Amino acid sequence: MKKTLKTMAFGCAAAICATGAFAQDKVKLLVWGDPVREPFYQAFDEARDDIDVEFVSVARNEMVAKLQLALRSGEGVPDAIFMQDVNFAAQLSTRRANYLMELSDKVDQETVDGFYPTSLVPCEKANGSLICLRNDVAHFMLWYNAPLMEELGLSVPTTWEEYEKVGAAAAANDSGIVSGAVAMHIPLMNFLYSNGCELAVPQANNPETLKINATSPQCVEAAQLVDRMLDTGSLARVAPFDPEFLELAKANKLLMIPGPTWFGEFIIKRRYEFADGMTGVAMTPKWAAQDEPLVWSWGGGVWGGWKDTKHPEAVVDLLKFVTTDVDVNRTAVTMPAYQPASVEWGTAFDGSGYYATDGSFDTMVDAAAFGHPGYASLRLDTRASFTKAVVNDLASGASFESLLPQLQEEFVNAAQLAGYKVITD
Amino acid sequence: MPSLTKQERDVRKRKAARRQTLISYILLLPYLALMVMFAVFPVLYAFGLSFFDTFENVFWGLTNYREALNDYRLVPAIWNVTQYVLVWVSMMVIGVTLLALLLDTLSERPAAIVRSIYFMPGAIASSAVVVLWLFLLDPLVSPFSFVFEAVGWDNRQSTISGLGEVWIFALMGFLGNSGGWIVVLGGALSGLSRDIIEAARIDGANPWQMATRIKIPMISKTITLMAIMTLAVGMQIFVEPQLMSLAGGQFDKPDWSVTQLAYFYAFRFGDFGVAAAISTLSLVLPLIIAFTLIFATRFYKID
Repeated sequence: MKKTLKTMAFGCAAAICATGAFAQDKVKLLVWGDPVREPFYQAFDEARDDIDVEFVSVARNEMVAKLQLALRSGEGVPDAIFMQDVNFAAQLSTRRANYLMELSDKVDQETVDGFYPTSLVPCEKANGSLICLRNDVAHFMLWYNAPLMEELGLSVPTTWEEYEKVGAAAAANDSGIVSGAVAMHIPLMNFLYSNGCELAVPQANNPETLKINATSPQCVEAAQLVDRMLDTGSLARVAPFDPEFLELAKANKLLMIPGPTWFGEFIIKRRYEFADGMTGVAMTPKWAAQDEPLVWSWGGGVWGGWKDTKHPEAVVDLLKFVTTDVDVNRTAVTMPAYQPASVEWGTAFDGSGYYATDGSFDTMVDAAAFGHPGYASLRLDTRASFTKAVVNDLASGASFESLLPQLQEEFVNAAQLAGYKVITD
Repeated sequence: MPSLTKQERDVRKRKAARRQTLISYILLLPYLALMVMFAVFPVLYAFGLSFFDTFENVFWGLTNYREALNDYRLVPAIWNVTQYVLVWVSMMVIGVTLLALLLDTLSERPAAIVRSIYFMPGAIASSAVVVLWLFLLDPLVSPFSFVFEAVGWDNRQSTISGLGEVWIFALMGFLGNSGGWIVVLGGALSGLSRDIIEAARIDGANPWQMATRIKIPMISKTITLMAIMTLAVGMQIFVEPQLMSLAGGQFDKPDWSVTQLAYFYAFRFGDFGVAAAISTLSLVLPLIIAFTLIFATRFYKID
């Protein structure tokens, strides 16, 4: 799909088109993204009379491949892209795929400071340079079915240990009530990372070194909790988007589920079909031994520019506009990563009347402060590795704990293949 | 005089033969041109590429090959593809031959109808077949859910892990490709001399003997051709595992087959050199097998 966002005629009329040359002088930017991001580009195009934006829709799983081809052929390389996966930032700033523009000297410190804490970690490179801007924060929250919680006389857990107890109480007597679905990469990773289990976590002083220790006490503790919850039936051995799980959720059999900030709008409202006023939002639980929670994330896109673009200034303006502009982000589908822009988004979120809890947005803001500093951009595909090593076997009935050694092996192999130095302790 | 005439006749014959050869080459030319452009050239290009660091265009010798062979995913991928090829090619050879022979016992009109029905799934692109199968494998929506339930598979996960990728991909491949080959084998069978069939029948051959003693030996070359072609296609398996993620992230199989590894290097790492090395390596094996089959069955020998 290719289209110019604004007709030349309109641009011309608005700018009192004196000469034909004026239209020629317009800066033309070729941009790639998913259809959801098209309105962002469009808004920039409309805000700037001197810039014409040509949008090309590129599917998530084709982004890196298409860009590799464009870079290799030297034709049709976009000036700016939206990356749906934070890992694309690392994958597109390697020696062979050196696409991303260095932004640290182009984006002022004030703007950088405006982003939620740790939300720019995926955009930071070894030497402290910045190669992208975060679109949305997608840290985990605890979503729950408020009427069901009340009906069962249970209270919302604040620690994972309580989460296990509440889940077990709800699932008792073959009630069929579940508190999560774990046959999927990130829901499982969430348990591990939130307990400080280190699976491909870049070292603070050297991001080229990853620490991988899947059999550490933290990992084992988290895996055992998952196994116990699978045994009591409080966690389902399917994925959160599997048809059978959707059926459970629609049948009022889902008590609570850890999920990222976009879970409410996209999964609970649309797929689980919770009615208005039914969904509660709580802080993601912490582990009993922790002082404060350590919050993992699921997704969150990033924007980047082409380092060899002919119009670096226009590209930087574009990247800043789409991430920080309040009007554009008010109607964004996900929670904006730029704090000032997210406030109005939050007002709309709370004002929708869909959520059962007061100050739901504030809870999400609070949780952002505990973002895991290891949620970085990596050249290896951690989701694929995790799926391969764990998910299929777990879904077929194996215990999570028994799969940790093969998870370790797969992660070490994948990290080394991607050129990382690996330490295990 | 007679000897001179014979020489003259020889010369004329040779000229005619040469002209005929020329004509056949001219007729072949469009195909040859396309083959050079889209098969020979890319193979040679990849072969050349496999010795270079494609980023700085430096000659690297065997570095790319070493990197490819050291990849921890290569051996499992080769094992996956080997299992798949064994299952799929046997499924094709046995299944297609059986169906073609059964169709041959029908009278002309019903056979033509059934043959067209068999051909239909082949008209669906393999990517669409994958999506179709993801529904077929889901007990919630599958028309075969009673089969899955009978063996205790109550969700998509358990069907997929219960059947295993090898069998799933082989079934997908069989459904998509068998129709075309049934038509080809049907053609070969209907081309058999009716005299021989009649003679066998008069000699008292029952349908089983007719099939195993008369028909199969006479179409064995077509069966060999099918085996070689399905083998070549099977070793390049790519779309089926690549699209498994459509069923959900947990089914993603990005490094299941050797071709996927080449794709991974080219389009994830941007390392076209290693990708070319893997491609070159994965061309050698099918070539060896194909030549072995061709010589073992004396494929081009004209009876």
